[in-house]
Parts: sequence; C-alpha cells; structure tokens
Amino acid sequence: MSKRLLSIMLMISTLALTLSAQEKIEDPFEATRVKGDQSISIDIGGFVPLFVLDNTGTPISPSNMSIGAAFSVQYRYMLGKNFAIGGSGAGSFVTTVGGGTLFLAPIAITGAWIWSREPMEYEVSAELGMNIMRLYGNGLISPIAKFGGGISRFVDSSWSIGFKLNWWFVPEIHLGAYSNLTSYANFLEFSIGANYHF
Amino acid sequence: MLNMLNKIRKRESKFFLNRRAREYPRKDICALYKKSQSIFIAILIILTISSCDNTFSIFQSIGQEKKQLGAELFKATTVRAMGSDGTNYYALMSKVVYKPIAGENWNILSIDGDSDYFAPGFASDGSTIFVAKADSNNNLEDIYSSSDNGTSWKAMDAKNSIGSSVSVDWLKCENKTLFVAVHGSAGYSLFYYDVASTSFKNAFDSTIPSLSEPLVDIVWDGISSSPAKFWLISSSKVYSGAEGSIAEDTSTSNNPALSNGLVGIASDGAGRILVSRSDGIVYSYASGSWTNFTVKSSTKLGPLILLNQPSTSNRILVAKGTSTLGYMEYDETGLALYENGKDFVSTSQSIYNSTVRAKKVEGFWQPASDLNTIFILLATGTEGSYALYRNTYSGGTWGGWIAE
Repeated sequence: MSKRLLSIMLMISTLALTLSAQEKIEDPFEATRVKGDQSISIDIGGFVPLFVLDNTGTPISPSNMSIGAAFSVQYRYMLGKNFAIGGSGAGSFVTTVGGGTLFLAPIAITGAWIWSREPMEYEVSAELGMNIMRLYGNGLISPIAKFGGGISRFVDSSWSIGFKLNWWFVPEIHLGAYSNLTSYANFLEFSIGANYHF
Repeated sequence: MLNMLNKIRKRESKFFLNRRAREYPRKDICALYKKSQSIFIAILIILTISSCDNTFSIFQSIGQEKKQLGAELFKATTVRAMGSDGTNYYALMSKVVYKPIAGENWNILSIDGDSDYFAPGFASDGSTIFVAKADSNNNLEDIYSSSDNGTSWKAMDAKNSIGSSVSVDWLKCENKTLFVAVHGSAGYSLFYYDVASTSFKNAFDSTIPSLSEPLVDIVWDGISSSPAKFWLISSSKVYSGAEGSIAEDTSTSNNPALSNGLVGIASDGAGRILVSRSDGIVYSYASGSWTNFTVKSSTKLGPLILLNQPSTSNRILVAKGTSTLGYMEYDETGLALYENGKDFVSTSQSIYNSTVRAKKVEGFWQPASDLNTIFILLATGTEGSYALYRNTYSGGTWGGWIAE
C-alpha cells in the first residue's frame, strides 16, 4: 500500500513538475522572443495634424492642415527578449486649407520595448531619423522623432495584427538669416497593421 | 491552454530551428544589395537637398494660407478673356459668364436668348461687349454685340465679311476698335470692324491677306493720334499700324522677331510697348526704337502686363511658360526679379503657392476704370482649383490673390 501510495505520489510530483515546466514555457517571451528574432510590419492609417509652434514656441494658429493618411514599413531585430532595434520608412500626407498637399517621408532608426501576454503583444517605441517634406514643389529635409505604442494579437505562428499610435515631432530647422522660419510641427499617426515574425 | 501551448511550440520551432539556417542567406543578400542601397539612398538625399529652399518655411507658409472660396464654374476650366461694360464684369470660358461689378455671383450670359452655345471670343470696349459664337465644328456663326449689359443683342453679320469656314482665335477691343483674329484654310487673318461700313475688313495692309503663323495679341499704344497706332504680334513677328494698314515692323535694331518665340505684348498706354519672348527676354519699344532686357535667361515667358500700382515701384508681371508656370514680377527700377510669389502682388509665398503656382497664365486684365484691381486668367485643368483670381490694391499694398 505504501509502495502504491509512493508510486502515486511520485506520478503526481512528476506531473506537477511537468506542468510547472510548461507554465514557464507559457511565458511567451521565453518562447517567442529571443535575441535574433526579427519582424517586419506594415501599417496604414490616419494622420492628424495636432499643432505647430514657431521658432519662439508660439502656436501657429490655425495650422491650416486637415487630417490625412500615413503608411509605414518597419523592420525589427530583437537584441534581447524585450528590446528590439530596427529601421522604418514611412509616407504620409495632409491637405492644406489653400488646396495644397504636404507630403512627409521619414526614414528612421527605431528602438522598441516589447512585452506580451499570449496571444497579445504590447510595445512602446521611439524613432529618430530624417524626414523629407514636399509642399508646392518646395522640398525640405528635417529631423524627425516619433514616440508611440501599440498592441497586437498573434493570429498564427508568424503573423500578428494590431493597432498603433505614434506621435510625430517634426522640427523644421532653418539656419542663419532664416532661422526665424524655424517651426515645430506635431502630428498623431493612428494605424492598423500586420507584423510578420521570422 | 493546450491550444496556447501548441501555438507557442509552433512558433518555437520556427524561431529556434530556422533562424540560423536563414541568417547566412540573409547576410549574403544584404551584401549583394548593400552597395546599390547606399547608392540609391545617396541619390535620394542629393535630389532632395538640391530641391531644398532655406528661405521657404513649409509650416509657416501653410499657416499663412487662406481658404479660397471661388465660384464653382471657375473650377477646372480656363478663363481666356475678360472685359467690363461699366456695369458687369465678363469672363470668357467656353461660354461667357458675368457678374455685377459690385456683386458676388457669376452666371452664364445668354447670347441673343441662347444659353447653350460655344463662344471662342469675347471683347469689350468699356461700354459695349462683343461675343463670337461658333458651331460644333468651331466654325464662326456670328459675332454679337450688346450695349445694354446683355439684355439685347445685335448680330454683326460677321460670316458675310469674314467667311463661314473660319475659326475665331480671339476678339480684342483696343481704342474702341474691335479686332477679330481667325484662322482657316488660307492661314491666319486679322479683321477689324469698320463702323462706317458696318462690316469687317482686313486689318493688315493690302500686301498681307493672311499669315502662316498664329496671331497672339494686339494692343493700342495709347497715344491719341489719328489714326491710332496698334501693335500686333504673331508667334514670330511684330506688326504695327492703323487698322486696315497694319504692316510688319521692320526695325533693324533690336527687332524682337523670333521664329515661334513671341508670347506676349503689353502697352503702358503712353506709347511704350513691351513684347515678351520664349528666351526670357522682354523687348521694349519707346520713342521710335527697341531695347531689350533679360527677365530670366533661357526661360520661356508668357503674357505680361505693366502694373502701375504702387506708382513708386512699377512692376512688370510676366507669366512663365516653363513647367513651373505661374508668373514672375520684374522691377525695372531695381532690375530685380521676384519669383514664386516673393513680392508684393502675391503678398506672401503661401498665397501665391495656393492660388497661381503651377497654373498656366492665360493673361492679366485690369479694368480701364479701376487700376486698383487686377485679374489673373488661368488654365487650371485640375478639379478643385480655380481659374480666375482677383487682387485689389488698397492702403498702399496689394491684398493678395482671391478666387473669384
């Protein structure tokens, strides 16, 4: 009897240890995100002009821009189970009250902190880069910074879909005698997208 | 939970088993394309930097824009001529539209009870308006005149003296004389309306029944002499003289003649004539001789006008025939050229950019009785963009272009 009981206890203990091990695997990062993992995401959505400040920090009111659209492509490489770096290219436009169209095309490097609870994944990210703008045939290159976050859900082993919000900070820098033309524009990008993990 | 674990395992196998196997090919691909990618990015940056303008602020320019709310009938069209009879303004598109000078709304003008017509030409002498009507093949039907703001019309029997198989290129009234430029199988001809005989007659002298090149425009020199002297340009040559005896200008010194190169003519109303050319040069005739100056070298110009306001800083507005279109301002006193709306007529680059830029200028027009108003006639071609803008001089400055 005691042997039988011992056998049963041994089986239960083994099962418990096994389940315990499996519970560890259930932490998605142990399984899904390791150094070297990569992903490509494609996002498309709306682009909202928030406000523009002139070189003294005074708001330029009204900004005379209407809601537009944005899309982006981003590549990420995991440096650890939570941190990724990568690059992105994006394009967006807004229309102006005078009938013009402002195009923005930033290229940036990105860093993101990623965590998840299966099947959801969450991220906060920051991007820094250069931004090519064009309006009425006039082009300008400016720096750009983006800050944002997103949430996505895995739909199979390779794909996840999700929603992102990004704040675009676009300083338009003019130098020398034209430094008074410097201004700081702020936009909000909201998008849905698909991520491919490999 | 089991389903979740299965998902995790499926991804595990992909991440852990395939990653190494794929890394080396990916590196190879990167190596292969690294050079071409760098070249592409470098070209992109160079192209963009080369088009950068440190003097132009994108966001501040947008902040200065004004919403243009013009008449719907001026969207995506071309305004080819304007005039006034003292009561209304008139604009020629495929039909003639009008509005009271102090009014707001533009409406289609009925010609002799007909509002479904095609008008290839319109002119006014300040009190009478003239409209040419053509059939569906653009053959002249007749020219009509009205001296009561379009209430009643008189058919001028133009077919009888000009011909029925000709197309009207334009109508123009100068010094109360109506000119009609037409083309047909015989070439390009210019007629004028002879009030005494109530018929149209050849405006050239008897040695020129027609030309082989298009007629561009005609102006009066503004000098009250008898007979009045008119200046006409074809696309290649300058002609001058009284109606019925207009002949080629044969000045040997600085003659503006240029094969297919004459694009605009203007008069200051005091004997001075300006001719713009496709090589960026404007020729000026005064006191019996021609001189010239370069507005912008190797740049095709277009129609031009001498602007007398403000009187202390006269400007020439001259259209650009290049791909950027729009117009330039030339300060003859300071010998300075202003482009892209950077001077006083546009008031700001943003107004210029959102109104006139990248549109073909068909012409400028100022009412003879109101030199504080100027209209710019445009070919827009794109939906949502207007073809007629007005600019008003008040308080010592021009107010900027506003859609009609």
